[in-house]
Amino acid sequence: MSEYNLQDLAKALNGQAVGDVALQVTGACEPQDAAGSLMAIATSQSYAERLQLGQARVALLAEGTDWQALNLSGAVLVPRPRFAMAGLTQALDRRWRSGRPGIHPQACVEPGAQIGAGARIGAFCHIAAGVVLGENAWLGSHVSLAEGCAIGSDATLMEGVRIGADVRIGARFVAQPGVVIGADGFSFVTRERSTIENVRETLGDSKGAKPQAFVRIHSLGSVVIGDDVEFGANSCIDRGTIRDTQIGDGCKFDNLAQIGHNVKIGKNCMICAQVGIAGSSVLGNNVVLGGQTGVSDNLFIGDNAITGGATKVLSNIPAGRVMLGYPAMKMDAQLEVYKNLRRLPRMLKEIARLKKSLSDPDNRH
Amino acid sequence: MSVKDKVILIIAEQGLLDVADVSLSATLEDLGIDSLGVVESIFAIEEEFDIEVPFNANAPEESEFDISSVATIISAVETLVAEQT
Repeated sequence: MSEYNLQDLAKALNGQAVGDVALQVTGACEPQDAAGSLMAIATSQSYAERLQLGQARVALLAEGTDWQALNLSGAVLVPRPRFAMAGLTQALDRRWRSGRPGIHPQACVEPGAQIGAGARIGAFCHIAAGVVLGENAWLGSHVSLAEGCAIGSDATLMEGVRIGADVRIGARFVAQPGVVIGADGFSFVTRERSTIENVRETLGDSKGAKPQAFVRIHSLGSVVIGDDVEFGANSCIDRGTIRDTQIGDGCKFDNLAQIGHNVKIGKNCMICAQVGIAGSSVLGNNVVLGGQTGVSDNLFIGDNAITGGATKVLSNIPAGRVMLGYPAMKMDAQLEVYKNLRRLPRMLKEIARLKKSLSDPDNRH
Repeated sequence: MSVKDKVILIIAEQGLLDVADVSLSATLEDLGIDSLGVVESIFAIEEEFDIEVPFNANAPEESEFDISSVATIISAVETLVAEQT
């Protein structure tokens, strides 16, 4: 359904339609650009003020707004505008899973692949033998599904997504363009004890270990992903070494997330852009990692922990803790450190003054 | 330049605003300065006046340094500067 009237939208958004509720809505825009059937999104005071700059006839407004004072023909009033944006944008998104079901003639589906009913498979996709693709899958162009991978129903795989062999993914999976699930882990070893091992153990002393070549450790595990997971563009999830890398239900990843081998992530975690999680670290449920957060390997991060942008996690984080900085500290401690750092120059000046007055008794004050 | 003008200049810089747009009754939130911006503004004030502002970065509203509006910040800074000399 691509056209809605105000009544339909109000129902979909759990809000209230007012004015001429039969008015059609064909799209959304900012208040000053709205006109005709384009709905103005004016859910805050400052946005509502901008309505007068355009020709809006219909608007999405916060509950309690005096819509009649805004020169509108009709409106939808919603209790939580931010949440209503989810339903509204979903209703009006014409690009989302566009086109009819069917397999493009230039897609290659190998014998032995199982494609669920209602699938839409774009041009230049490759679906290997043994793949099990659930119902209503939507694949953009250039998607490749390697041998034996299984994906649940209602998957949306945008252009150029690569799913590796034997990867198992739940229902309603969304992968933005370029996502790679199931590349080999970054796992190498040296014949004898390496400088890296020595440095880690001693925090800085390489103990003169000889440089040596790296030998590959293969990844025998796979990747297992729960239901309702979404990955941003060019995110990568590596497969495990022996066991599988695991991602729980409801996790959302932004662009360029890098999740190392053997990592285990709980449910409903939010992993922002450019986050890197090194091998074998374990995250609980509802963890939020701010943009560019780095997590070292073999660590544990408890439920509901939050890291601010660019936090570098070098040790375990208990449940519920809010962390910031490098090295990651409790956010309040980090801010205190920062405060003292900023005050250092003045403190040094003060110390210099005190020293001078001590060494020169006549000058004491 | 008076304490008032200097404080307004610091706040304007932090909010990327013209000095003329910083009204005395405005809150830092009105001026688009978020929590870390508040912390930065306080550091800039400390550095400008060579004073130590008693504030709690994690709960600025609980500190004795009143940041509820531009006017209260100015008067708090004036007090601190007066105490120092």
